[in-house]
Amino acid sequence: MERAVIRPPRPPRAQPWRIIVLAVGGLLAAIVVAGAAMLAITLNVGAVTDRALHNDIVLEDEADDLRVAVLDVRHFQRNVFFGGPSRTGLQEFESAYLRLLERIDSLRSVQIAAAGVAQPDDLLRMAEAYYAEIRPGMDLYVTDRPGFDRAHEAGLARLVELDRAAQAIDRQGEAQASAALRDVEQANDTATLILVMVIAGASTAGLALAWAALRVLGELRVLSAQQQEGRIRLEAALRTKTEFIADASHELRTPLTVLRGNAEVGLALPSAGECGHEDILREIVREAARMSHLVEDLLFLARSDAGQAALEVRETALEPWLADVAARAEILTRERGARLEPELRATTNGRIDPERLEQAVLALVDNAAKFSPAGGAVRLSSRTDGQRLWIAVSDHGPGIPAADLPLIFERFHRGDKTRARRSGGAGLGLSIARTIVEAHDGQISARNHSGGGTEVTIELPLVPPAAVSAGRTPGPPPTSDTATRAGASAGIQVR
Amino acid sequence: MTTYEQDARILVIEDDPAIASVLQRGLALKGWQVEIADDGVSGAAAWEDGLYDIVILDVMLPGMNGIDLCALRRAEGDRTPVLLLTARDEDAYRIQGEKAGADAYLTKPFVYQDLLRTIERLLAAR
Repeated sequence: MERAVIRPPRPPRAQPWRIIVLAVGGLLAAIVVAGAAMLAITLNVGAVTDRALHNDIVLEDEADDLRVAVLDVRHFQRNVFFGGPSRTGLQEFESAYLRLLERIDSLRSVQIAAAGVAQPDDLLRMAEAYYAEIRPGMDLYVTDRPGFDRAHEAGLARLVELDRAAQAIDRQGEAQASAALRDVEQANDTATLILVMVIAGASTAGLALAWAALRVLGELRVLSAQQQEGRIRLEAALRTKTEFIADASHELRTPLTVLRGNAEVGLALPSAGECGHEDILREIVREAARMSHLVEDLLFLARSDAGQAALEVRETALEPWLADVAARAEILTRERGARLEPELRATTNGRIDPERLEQAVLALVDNAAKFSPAGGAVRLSSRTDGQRLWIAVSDHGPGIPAADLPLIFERFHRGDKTRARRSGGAGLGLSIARTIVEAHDGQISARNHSGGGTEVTIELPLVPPAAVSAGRTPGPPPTSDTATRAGASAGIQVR
Repeated sequence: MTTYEQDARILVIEDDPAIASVLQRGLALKGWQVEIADDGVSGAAAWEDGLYDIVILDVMLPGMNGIDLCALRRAEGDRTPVLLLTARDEDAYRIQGEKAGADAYLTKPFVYQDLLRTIERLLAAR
């Protein structure tokens, strides 16, 4: 026989799912951080770029325009110098000077934030000083030609100063623009760095996730293989058990047949009565019968555990069935030195397995008779309400200690071991009764009477749900390993 | 009990010598002639050759199992009453035995009186 070695399955490691949680969390966090960083970088780079464009275009443009205005003024001053202060020449000069003032005024809208660079007010003062010197000088053209020449030279010198101031503003604009561009570059560098870090973080999280997923898949493969292996082992063990039950059945029954048969043949011999042989042989027959009974009980429980004991549920008239059960119970109680008091009230039909249920009731009766005092009454009663059937067996024995009440339906449980051994029985009767009743979707319970004695009650539906389905479809053969449809807890199939 | 019954010839096909011996002992007490075959093949040969009033047939036999042997004899037109003996009380065996043409069925360990009653019933029903 194959020896089934049960290896405990390796528990799955808890680490991979933790890593998955961390990796998914990390990935989500990385996405949030990356989004926030991208937004901040975009805003920052936009602001820096705006500032750079402002300085570059506005400040430089303004400075250039200022220089053009200065050159214009210079041009028209020289026209006056070479052509004399004609009405047109003077008008043109005045216009150029006004444009210069407008340009200076326009510079006020631009921030020139640098020391050593002329501010609009300074430029205005310089322009006014220039005008105050050149304009009266122009009126000296006819009257004081040398004075006119001096004013012209001084004016040109002041215009050079204005032009230098404008150049300085222009350079400042360029400087500010390049500083702003550096800021843009720096912001871009920072953004690139942050993005690289975020991508690196997300990649790490992704790698961790992939690794964890691989680990989880690996674990699942291992678990699946273990489950498969376990299923195969279980099937093998069940097969072995089934074969063992069949073998044990054969191996135990054969010697019991020989033992009992020989004793019975011995009793049939004409010389059986000599020298007390008859008593010896009768005892052998009795003990062989008891052992047969025990073997049958053990086989029944083993079969029900293996899901091989089948209920044969069929529509049964309860009244004649109960009368039959009572007749057998009567013989059983008489053999035990007790007497049966039947009180049977059940006239309907029920879907039950009559043989198995009779076995259960007789187990209760046998138990009650065993613990009854000599000549004591064992009451077998029954009733129905159309839906359910109750069968109760009560005795006037010593009762069951409260601590033992929940245990009496367990296998091999015997309350008072000495007494139980003397009265025979291995303590399987009540357990078998429970197995049969549960296979009928019923319940079995025991309680002590207040005045002494015990009552065991079977309660079951007259049409168990499983029996309904069993009635519609034929059940599996007894050798099939089909899952039990009813009495699953009891391991009995309903057919 | 009729004279014929007392002279009845019984073939026991049973591989377990202890069971065979207890059967022989028990049935001889009734005055019946008992012959033993200890496997399916020799059992089949004895059954075919001899004229028996009843055949007691074990199910689990070496060579050929009891159910197949019974079916074979029935197929050849043999109507000798057959009592099947088995250590397995599964319904499948009972049903298979009935299909194979067995007339009665006893599960080991059987009660001696039941065995006698069954044989007497089969002899009377012939």
